Amino acid sequence: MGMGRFSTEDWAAYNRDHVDGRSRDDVFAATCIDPRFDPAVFTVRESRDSDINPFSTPIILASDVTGSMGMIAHELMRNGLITLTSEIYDRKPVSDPHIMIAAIGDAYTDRAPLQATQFEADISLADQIRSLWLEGNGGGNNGENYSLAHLLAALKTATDCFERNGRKGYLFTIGDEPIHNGLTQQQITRIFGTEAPRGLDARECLALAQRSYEVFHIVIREGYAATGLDRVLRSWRPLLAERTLILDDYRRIAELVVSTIEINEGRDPQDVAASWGGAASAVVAQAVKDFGRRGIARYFR
Amino acid sequence: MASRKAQAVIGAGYGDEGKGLLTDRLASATTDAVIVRSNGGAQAGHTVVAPDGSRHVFHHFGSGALAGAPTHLSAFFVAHPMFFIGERQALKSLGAALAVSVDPRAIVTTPFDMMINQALELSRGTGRHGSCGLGFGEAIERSLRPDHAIHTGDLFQPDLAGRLWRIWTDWVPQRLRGLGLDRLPDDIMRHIDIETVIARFLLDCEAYLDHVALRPDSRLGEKGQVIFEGAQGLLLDQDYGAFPHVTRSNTGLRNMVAIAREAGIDSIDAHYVTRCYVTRHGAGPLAHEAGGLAGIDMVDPTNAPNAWQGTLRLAPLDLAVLRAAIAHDLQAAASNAVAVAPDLAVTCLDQAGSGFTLLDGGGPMTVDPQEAGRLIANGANLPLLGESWGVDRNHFRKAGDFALAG
Repeated sequence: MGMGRFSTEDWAAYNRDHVDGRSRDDVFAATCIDPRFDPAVFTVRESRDSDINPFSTPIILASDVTGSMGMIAHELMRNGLITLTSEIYDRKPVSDPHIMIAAIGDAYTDRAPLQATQFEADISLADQIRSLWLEGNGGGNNGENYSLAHLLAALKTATDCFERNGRKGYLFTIGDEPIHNGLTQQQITRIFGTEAPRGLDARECLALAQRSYEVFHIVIREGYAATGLDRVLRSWRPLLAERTLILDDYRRIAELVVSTIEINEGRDPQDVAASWGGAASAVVAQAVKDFGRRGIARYFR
Repeated sequence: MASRKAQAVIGAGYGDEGKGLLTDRLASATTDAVIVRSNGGAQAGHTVVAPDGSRHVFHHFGSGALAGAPTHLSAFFVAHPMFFIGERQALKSLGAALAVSVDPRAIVTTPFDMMINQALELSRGTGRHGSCGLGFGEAIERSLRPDHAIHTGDLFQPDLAGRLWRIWTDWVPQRLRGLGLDRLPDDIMRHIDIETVIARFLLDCEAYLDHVALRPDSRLGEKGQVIFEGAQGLLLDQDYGAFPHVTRSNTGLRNMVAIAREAGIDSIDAHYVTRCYVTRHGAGPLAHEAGGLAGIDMVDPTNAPNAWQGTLRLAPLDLAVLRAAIAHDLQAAASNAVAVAPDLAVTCLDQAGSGFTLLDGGGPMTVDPQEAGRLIANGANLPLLGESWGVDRNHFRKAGDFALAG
């Protein structure tokens, strides 16, 4: 025993807002892409049923982390997505959620254009999220390669939800920019580590993902989309129509994702939005108004 | 597939029994060992000397790290980010295993818990509880209040700074009032300002999160062969020791059995550890306390006297006390779900000369160190696991190997 050596001198030394005597690199984790998150390195991410999770449902949350998102990318990865995953685990809008987080960089300029965690059924996901590297490039070419997330879901995941039970999982992409029109053959080969016979356009990538996932896109009305919302929607609406959701307050992303899943699972949109209370209800109601209307319309067909 | 069997190292006295030594020995002899800290926090200090002579006192890491075993901090562990990164640096320079996983429920100690702890100890003057002044008990006390609790999982949530400020403005005054203290010690407060301390602590929390992987205890089986490492000893257990001179945790099998049940482990080889004499830190009763022990030449660089705990105290080993403590621990943790196979390791026999004193309820008896291990294990009603005759794992003799060792 015995470590009672925190003296007044130690307190004095502690009274500095830096970790003294050591380099920042030594103290904090390295700042480069972690190979375990690199889709060129891993073969497939699995979401499997187990005794504890007998009816697993995969949920992929793929966020743009490039420079145009600015501070929001950092805020989203460090705080927003962790709140979001906690909310999904707590509220369980689907049975046994298995969550994967993907970070979408820029396929033209980034060294880490795509990173993906494992599917996790509990909060141990949080430290994988922390370990994702935020490169901060991107911007300048009026779009992001959100198709990377669609191909990730199509090529690099294997789920009992779909394979055994014929149910679809959920895939949300999140960002502020227009979507580039697909990926070149070279990009697919390099980023996914599999030989691609040809390039794929955005619609093809999306269609591949939609075979086993309900796909949505959330437009964060900040950064690029704050001034260029029309251009953003012109690229997304032809692909995802009312499944393009516009979020006015990025801090409400947890509520929006959970609400969207609940509405898609058949709950009443107004009830779902109201369930959050306060300002969140209004933000969510606004974001799901097109998708929700369609949701209600289903009952009148 | 979860591993179904675990080992455990449990101190049978007041701490300082040799848990570090035995943990290191078991880790070196076990493939894929993972050391699971099942109680206590960074105030524990388990010494390991590697065969190459390098030495480390383990606080926030499991004592198997020099033998290459990763650490898991269970839900019962009380984390201390202020000390984590420094110890990690020290272990890195020794080439130790640095992988650490932690259950998200593990409580987090803040600088405020240390300040209150130290204020309390100072106010008690000589009547100390044997506390280490690192805020262990205070962190647990605070964590009973949902508004002010911080668990490792909470460190990922936004607004940690806001929580810390609320602890400072709401909890600290409330707790000081409750303890009958009017303020924090001047000689701490004149050296710090709270804003800077909070900023520094946030950095420590970042560094801590950067180097631990979250893993619920229920998934422990995925990591390897579990070796539970208890901290403190049975005679300091909060439910068994002499209140108030106890630590605020269960020091024996109880937490280990609870973790095992979550992790799907169904049997534990429980290794109790005792020196061939008794030591105690700080205040509290110590039967047969003696200034020095005939026949014992104690060497203990770990236990340098410190302002919060005083010096190390000595007494001969009383087999009746040992027997009762272990019997109580086995009975208190009994569970149909987890089978327990206990034995005993006896340490520090190299410090015994030609003959030294044992007690068994009645009068003293003088024993030959060569016979002492077996005698002590018999006295405890346990099989003998082995004996230590030196500071490192190579001087630990397993019971079955004695004939070979000559």
